Amino acid sequence: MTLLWALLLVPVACIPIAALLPSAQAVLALCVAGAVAVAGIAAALIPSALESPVFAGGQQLMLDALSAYNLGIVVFVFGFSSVYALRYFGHGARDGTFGRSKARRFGAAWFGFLASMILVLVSNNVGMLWVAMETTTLASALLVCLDFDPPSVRASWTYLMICSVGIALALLGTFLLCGEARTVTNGAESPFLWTDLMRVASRMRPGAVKLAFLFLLVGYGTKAGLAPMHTWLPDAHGQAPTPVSAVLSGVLLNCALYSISRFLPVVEGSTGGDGWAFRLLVPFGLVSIGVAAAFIAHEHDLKRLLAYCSVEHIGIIALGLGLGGTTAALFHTLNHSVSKMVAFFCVGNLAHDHGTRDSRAIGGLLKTSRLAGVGLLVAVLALAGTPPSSTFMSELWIARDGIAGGHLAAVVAFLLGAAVIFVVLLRPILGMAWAPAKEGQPTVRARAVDWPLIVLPLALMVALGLWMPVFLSDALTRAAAVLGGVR
Amino acid sequence: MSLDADLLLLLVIGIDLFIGSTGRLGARIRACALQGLVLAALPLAIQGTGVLTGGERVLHTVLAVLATFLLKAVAIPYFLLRAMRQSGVAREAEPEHSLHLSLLLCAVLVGLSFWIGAVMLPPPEAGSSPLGVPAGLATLLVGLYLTVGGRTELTQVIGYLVLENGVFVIGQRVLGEFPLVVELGVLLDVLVAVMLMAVLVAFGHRPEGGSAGDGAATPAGGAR
Amino acid sequence: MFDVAVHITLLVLMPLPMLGLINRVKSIAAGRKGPPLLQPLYDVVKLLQKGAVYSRTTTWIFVAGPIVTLASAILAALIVPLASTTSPFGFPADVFVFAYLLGVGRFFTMAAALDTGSAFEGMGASREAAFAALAEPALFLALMIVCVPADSACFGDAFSAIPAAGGLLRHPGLLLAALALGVVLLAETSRIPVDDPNTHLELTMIHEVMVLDHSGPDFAFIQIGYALKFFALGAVLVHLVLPIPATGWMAPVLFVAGQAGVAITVGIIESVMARLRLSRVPQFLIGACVVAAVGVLVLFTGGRP
Repeated sequence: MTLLWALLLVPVACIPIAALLPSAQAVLALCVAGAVAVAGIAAALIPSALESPVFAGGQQLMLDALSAYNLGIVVFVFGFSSVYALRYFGHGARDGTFGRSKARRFGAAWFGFLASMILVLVSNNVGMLWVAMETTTLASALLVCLDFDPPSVRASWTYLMICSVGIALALLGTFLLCGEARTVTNGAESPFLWTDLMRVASRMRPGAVKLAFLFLLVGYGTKAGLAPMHTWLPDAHGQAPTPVSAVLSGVLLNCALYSISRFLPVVEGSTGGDGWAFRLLVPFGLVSIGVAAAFIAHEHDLKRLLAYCSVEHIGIIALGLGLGGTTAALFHTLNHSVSKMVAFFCVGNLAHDHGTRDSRAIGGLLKTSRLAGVGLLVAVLALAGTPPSSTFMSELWIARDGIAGGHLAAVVAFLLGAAVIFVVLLRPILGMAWAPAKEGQPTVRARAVDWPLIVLPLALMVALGLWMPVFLSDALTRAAAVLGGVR
Repeated sequence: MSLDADLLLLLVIGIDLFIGSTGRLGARIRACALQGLVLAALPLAIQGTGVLTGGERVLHTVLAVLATFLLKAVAIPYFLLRAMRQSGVAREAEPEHSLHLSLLLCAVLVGLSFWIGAVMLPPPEAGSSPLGVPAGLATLLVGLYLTVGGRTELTQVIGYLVLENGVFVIGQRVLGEFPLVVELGVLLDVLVAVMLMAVLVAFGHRPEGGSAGDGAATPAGGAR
Repeated sequence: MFDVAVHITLLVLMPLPMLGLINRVKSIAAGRKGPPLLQPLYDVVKLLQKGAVYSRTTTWIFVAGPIVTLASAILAALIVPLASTTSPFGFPADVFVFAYLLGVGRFFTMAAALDTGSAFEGMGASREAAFAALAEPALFLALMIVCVPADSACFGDAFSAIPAAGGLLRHPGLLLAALALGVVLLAETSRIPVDDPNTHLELTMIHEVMVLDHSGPDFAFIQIGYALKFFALGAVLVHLVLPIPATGWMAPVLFVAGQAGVAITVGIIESVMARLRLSRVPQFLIGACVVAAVGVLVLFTGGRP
């Protein structure tokens, strides 16, 4: 399928173009154009991929239902974030703080990031999957330290170091898995292709596969921000420019979790479906929720607050997978990505208007900056799992599936954690919304471009909470089927 | 068991111990380069003279060996040495840290990896070196220790490199070979990662950002 | 009877000239002509003709020190196979006796040093004790590796089994044992980089400072004992590295060449290296222990030879 190649090559081609464009505005415009083009290609591909896997390059590239679903989220969040980048860096491009060389650096890394994430999703070769994951780290580390000031360099360093080490362990896991597969494949099968791994899974020794999966889980789990390997996340997400934060939180974490989930059915096939790999995800999920709750309670920096919130949601998704609510977990992935993206957009606007990201230094948001304030409030309400948002629905499904599977203790712990987070997450936001405005705080009018950026996704979130369209539930079911069906 | 591969793997372990026991950054980086060289020679030793008569695999092996050599033994150490000079960080890796203890710990890790290799992993196939997995694991564990325990950024990068080398040794042991694209991709990624790290290290130690570099290690090291 | 004669002859003739050879190598490396090969022998003969001076604070321990040191060194050199795979004086489990004999000699040297009541000698003894505590595990581990191929703690069996098993290069474990033994040799015989036999700065001396108060024949005994110790440890190393046959004229030739090689190597090491800082010496010795320990692991992982 040439479209699959196009999906990969369009962002790759945009990297050198972005590095050569003459002005910052042109680079930002290219970001939007490139993201829209990729979204268009993806839109053309996804329906057929949901029906049956699309292959390209021999069997090296594959887009099946699971990756198509994730691809949809990636291009959606990336498209919105590109438009937001135009708005966010627009000031700097005009007054010179976002100069040409910085813009080129941003553009090249931005498309490199997009290309590597697409490669994560479409590669059928698990070795290539690793290469792509590591490349996402490199590209996004460049984006995190875009400003090159000491805090961002420090954050970027921590991010690069911890994730590289983590992902080296994932490489070890990949080697162990493929090494085991090599002993059972015949000449026609490759131990590196995921489709072939699935085919020979039942012949592999469970012990070796489990050991490999442990390394994969810890390795990619570091990248996904699962506690206790999450320590890099608040720094990186907090210090990055806001459009980058939105993409990091919104889709990069999903990609890492997607990489882990790819291996779940392989392990299941090898162990005969005893659910060992899924069960392993439960403690990681619960610990992530607990750690996030503890840290959110003491965080005043809005971006770091949202970053810890990401740890929580990745935990919830992992928990959902672990408890057998595959569909619910996948749905939650979408909900978290979209709401988190909007929350970052709003925080970015607020930080720009008020010159601070400290929740204690801002007040009266509903009056002083109406759109961003209301947007942040609604987005955080959605993130906290308030009905009628779609996040509420997906969390409810996860709890339902957990109880149906007999994991009562885990579900109780999950609901308790969610309740604590509801309180600690909303406390600073409610304070900002209704507290009297601080002295000297400007009243800001929203710009036209902000309306669709903030209102559209939020409307989508509320709509999905009330009504599930057939094509989405269909896509969820098909994607979940890749992971071993609706259990 | 193959004679040359055994000796090379032994050398890998020896370099681990040396890196664990020396305090000088320059010596550590050069030892890393030597380890890269050994890694590059490993496929040749394992496959023996078959490399030169193996038909279409020749190109694959030669390319892989060349790439490993150029990146792991030349490019990466070069960047690190440059970063060390540019940043002007202290040449002593961690003077407050007891090197005896570090060496002993590395020795314990080596022992541990022999044990793990014997207990947890399948026995080696006939004809392959029994040292492959222990040497790889030892390198990995020592690398992990250096990364987590490193006080300065450069020691952490060196630790990461050692860790990566360990993964490579294990990979060669359990896989024999992997697709060329993947192998090159992995190598390139590692190279870029190290270059980026080196740039960040050099930047973090510029006069205006002097304190930034010192602080960087603390949250990472402390939290893990 | 013939092998006994060869053994004794080698034992009597070789040790002191070996020290001379080391000095010669160092002299040549430094661009000098150097003393004759037999200079250590002349020194010893001169010392034996002198009288001894004893401090009033010393007891019988001070007198016994050099004698026991010499005796233990002679016994150790008797046990080690020289120009054959077996020693005519060997017996089962003699490997342990060999190691303990070295220990006894060291103990009495230290005791005699302490007996003088001088602070300098005490300092030397304390250093010697500290370093010996680190060198001994390396020695024992290395000897353990040597014993594994034959599954016997007897030098004769062990050295017969090593060439049969393919020698050093077939078994990385043995290679590591040889490395560790080399370090032990340097440490036990107070050579650079652990100690400097030529130093006259009390603050840095280890072995020399302990024997400062001995004079005349006592000092000659110590010198001979020292040479024998070097000779015995060197012999173990030679057997590890070179496949010395059990009989035939090749055996003595190979052995003498090997020992000369050891002496030359030590001489070269002393020429190119500086003495390690005192605080770095333990690390050097711990390194030897670690190398030997890895050797044990390798031996058991790779299967017994």
